[in-house]
Amino acid sequence: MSRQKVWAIRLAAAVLLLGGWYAAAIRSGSLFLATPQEVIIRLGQSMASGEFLQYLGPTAYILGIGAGLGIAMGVPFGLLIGRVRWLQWATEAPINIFYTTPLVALIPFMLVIIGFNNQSKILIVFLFTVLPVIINTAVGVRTVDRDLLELTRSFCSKEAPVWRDVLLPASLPAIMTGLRIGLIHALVGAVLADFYAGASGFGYLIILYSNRFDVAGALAPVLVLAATGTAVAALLKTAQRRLSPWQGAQR
Amino acid sequence: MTSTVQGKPTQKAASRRKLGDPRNERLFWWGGLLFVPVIWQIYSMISESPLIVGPIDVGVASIAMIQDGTLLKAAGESGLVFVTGMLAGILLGLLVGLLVGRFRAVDVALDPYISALYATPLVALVPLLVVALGFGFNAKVVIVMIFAFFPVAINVAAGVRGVPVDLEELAKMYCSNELQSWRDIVLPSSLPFIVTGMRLAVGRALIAVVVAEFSTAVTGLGYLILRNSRRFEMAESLVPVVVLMLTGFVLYTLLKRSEKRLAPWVSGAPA
Repeated sequence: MSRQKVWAIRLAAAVLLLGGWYAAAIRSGSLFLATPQEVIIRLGQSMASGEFLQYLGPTAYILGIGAGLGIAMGVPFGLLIGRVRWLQWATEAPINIFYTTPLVALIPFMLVIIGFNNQSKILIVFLFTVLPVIINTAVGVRTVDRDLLELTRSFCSKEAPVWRDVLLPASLPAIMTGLRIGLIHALVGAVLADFYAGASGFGYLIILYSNRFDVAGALAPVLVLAATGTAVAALLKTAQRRLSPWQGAQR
Repeated sequence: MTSTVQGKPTQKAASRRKLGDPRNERLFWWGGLLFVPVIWQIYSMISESPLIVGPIDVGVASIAMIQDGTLLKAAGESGLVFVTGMLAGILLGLLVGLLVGRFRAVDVALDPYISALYATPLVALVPLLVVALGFGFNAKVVIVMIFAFFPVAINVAAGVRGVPVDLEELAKMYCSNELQSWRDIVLPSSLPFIVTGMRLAVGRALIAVVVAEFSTAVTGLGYLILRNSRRFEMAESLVPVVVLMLTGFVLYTLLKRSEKRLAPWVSGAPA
């Protein structure tokens, strides 16, 4: 398929989707769906009035600290349990159970214990981030080429050079996958934290406008969140491809 | 997981290898599994706060809740939403995934949107969906469906794209028609990916069920969690959480096993 044809199809699809959105918005009335144009206008207004930054701040804060802590603790811990076998066995069951648990279900519980404050929010974001980071990092270390590891042992390599020369470079792609999934989960966690753990942030803005039946106002932050998620995913995928061009990026 | 190298270990390495001896695996696995509840129980007994309840309290509360029927009723309501939404999401995901994977034009047209929406925190849409669809059963099913759709569609598309070209050429050489090649080549070779998509969908669908029940009508396990925690009945609010945990873990493990059986050569990351 030629380049021109690809772009023609993309353009046609975009026009069709936007047209469909328009038609649906006009048919259903402003109470249920807003036209794309209205959403963009509202986004511009809210940016101009400073409301946007006012609500973005708290969310960025909990995201930065929660996801930062999640990555700072998840990567070393994942490296450790990927390398030390008995730790892997001991952590396998709890990590998998927590990973498959819908963590949202724990939020009301955390709110009662910790309270409606930023600490709960940061904890929520942290929990959402840390598990995929740990799991993917550990898988990365564990799937390092066994022959290479045997070679290091044959040459009596110490632990530190093994990490520097073999384990870290070889598990880098998996770590990047973990970061990507972790950050996307962190966004989900931040929105949920804003929904339930106190009236601030982007998530709260969405609820506020939805409850007023102001669909355009609520869709504007959703659009920003969607753009953020997509950009994070695309950036980390590109970085991953750069770092390990021999490996196709995994989902 | 057996160590194949029998080197001359130093003293330190020898003691580490002892811990990592394959015979210890079960011991450590069970130890790790029991570690969290045991610490939690001890902490709850030390702590003076009535809000910190231990696993034993949760167990007692669960018996009471099973006996008076609240747990089963809530689990039934949530289960119905979960199953209906999952089925709808899987079917839709299969359809779109097959089309995207098989037809280059559909792929080019839709893939950017599917990838973008997969990376979007879809929870942000829930308040809007509730406004548009109401507080009833349908709204919840739609929310679960949307969450389950994306991982299925993306993985099915990847599976269909990855069908070996040789096989397709062979099929064409033997004049097999589109239907036959779907039945004999495309579907079987993308089956493991379909199961992977379903496994990833389970986790997201469970989140969707809870979020939907938090923000819509007063039914299901999500509501039970919310109500009991607002009354500070912590043990009663943790019972549904444990039910959700077990559901997620069991479904995930079952699908993971069937993935391994369907495609033992794939050792995917649990992404």
